[in-house]
Amino acid sequence: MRVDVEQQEGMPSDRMVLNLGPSHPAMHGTLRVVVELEGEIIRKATPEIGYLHRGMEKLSEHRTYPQILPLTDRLNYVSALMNNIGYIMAVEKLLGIEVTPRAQRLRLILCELSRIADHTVCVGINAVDIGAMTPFLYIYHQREIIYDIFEKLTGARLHYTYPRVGGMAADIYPGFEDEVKAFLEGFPKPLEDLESLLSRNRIWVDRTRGVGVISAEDALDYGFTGPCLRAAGVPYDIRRDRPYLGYEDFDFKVPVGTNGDIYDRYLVRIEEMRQSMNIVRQAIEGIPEGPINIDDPKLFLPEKKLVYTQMEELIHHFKIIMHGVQPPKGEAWFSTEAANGELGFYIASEGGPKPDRLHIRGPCFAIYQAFPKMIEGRFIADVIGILGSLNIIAGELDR
Amino acid sequence: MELATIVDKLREALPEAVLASREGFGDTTLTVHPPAIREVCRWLKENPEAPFNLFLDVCGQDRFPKEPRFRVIYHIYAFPANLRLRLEVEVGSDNIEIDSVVPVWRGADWFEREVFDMYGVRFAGHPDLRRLLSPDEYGDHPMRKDFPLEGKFRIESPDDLHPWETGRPGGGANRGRK
Repeated sequence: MRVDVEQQEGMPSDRMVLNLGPSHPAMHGTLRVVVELEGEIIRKATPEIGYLHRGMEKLSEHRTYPQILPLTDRLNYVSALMNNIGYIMAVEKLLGIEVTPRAQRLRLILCELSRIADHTVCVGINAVDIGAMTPFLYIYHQREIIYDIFEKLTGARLHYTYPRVGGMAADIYPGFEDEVKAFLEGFPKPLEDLESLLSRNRIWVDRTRGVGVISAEDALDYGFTGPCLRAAGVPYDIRRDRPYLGYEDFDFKVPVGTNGDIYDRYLVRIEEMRQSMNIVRQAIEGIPEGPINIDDPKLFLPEKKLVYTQMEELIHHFKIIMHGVQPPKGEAWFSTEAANGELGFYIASEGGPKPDRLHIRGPCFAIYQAFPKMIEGRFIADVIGILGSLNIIAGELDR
Repeated sequence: MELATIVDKLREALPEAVLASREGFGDTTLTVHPPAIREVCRWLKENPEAPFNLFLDVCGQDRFPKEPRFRVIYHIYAFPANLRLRLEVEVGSDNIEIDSVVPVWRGADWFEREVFDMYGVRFAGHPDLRRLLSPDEYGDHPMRKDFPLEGKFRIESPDDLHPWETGRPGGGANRGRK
């Protein structure tokens, strides 16, 4: 798929302007790229974003901290639990509270399962976009199993709103561990199937090797994080470099690529799924016993039966619902390693129940900036492959 | 390499540029003299001990009715050294312009466009300062505090900032009323 530029020079050709998206099945959500074409080759590309802008940050300034939580579901909706947990931990950082070991462990397990689900979608859809339907069906079934577990746990399939400031909305259900273990047992086989269908597949390799290349320096400069940065050869992983949720207690490796092309991003994601499985396997054994929520009536809603029978609990309930939690003045930045990269929440508080400013740093936002650089000089067909490999989620991009 | 060492060296190298530094919630924040922001960023990126090579974030903040009204906040990260730093610049509403840091990190491009779009802060030296999220012909800067969440009136006094509490028009309490 090399583009022979010399051959094209001197040939009389008019440039054609083509709109890819915003409403096009291969453009993952509502992305629009205006491309200038010479024949089939892209000479100039200008992404236009904002078609899914819902003013989340503005809305956040008018809502109490617990009320903002459902908005974070709508960021990267493929792994919504990670956004939930990232946001809640930012608020907890501002409040200076630490959750119980049980809640920490549960959050870690949910984060890693979400990462697996996100990567299966990304790799599967990337293959579909390029024309391989079968691997997608093999791997997508596994995501379904994860979603069934999440649904049982949280009551929702996509927008969970499951963690709370100081804990979780509910404890795990009986049999949760067994179901996760069953998933871990069943997952390696389809993952192998996926690999055997793609990794040495001539068409896949031709379409992905050396396509959408970005160097390590460029990737850092553009603010790449997550699998896309690691595929370029930079071993930056917040789980290891700045551990949260007790990641330092678990044994896992950070896979890196060398070329920073689609193929490397695919390999990194496959290996990350293995490592996530590894983490979950270690974490699911011996989830700490004890309460799941912190025991602080100013922060956490009391049990419903106590609210109905005791005066103080009723007051606490009322205060939290009406006035929310009230962190002190100050600013805090908290970032987690989400499936796409560094998901940061910047909260500036002036005291009171609402943030003065809440900024969400979605990993896609930085990554998508480099998209024109990656596709200029290449064929239209490559656009779709590159876009899929970057895993741009419009909800997170536009907020 | 400690973050404090880098900050000390920065203050030595550019004594006028850093106005204050403070710690809070485990993060270090430097308040930078507005005209010096690009110089500070370049120094931080190019210092040999711990180059801040990974660009993370730029965001704006409106502190209406206080002056200087706007804040632009940068988050940067030094990759192998594992340091994270926050820079803060205060911009008054009389001259809402500061230097762009796109010449230092290309990754700042869209982040600065978003701040321009949402707050109207102009970045001098930005290669392509257009609106990012709202339509090009949109006349307002919606993240400003005097831009209402709902309705079509402009907030003039600080009492109107939280209509939900004060019961003034434009907010939840008067949702749907004309």
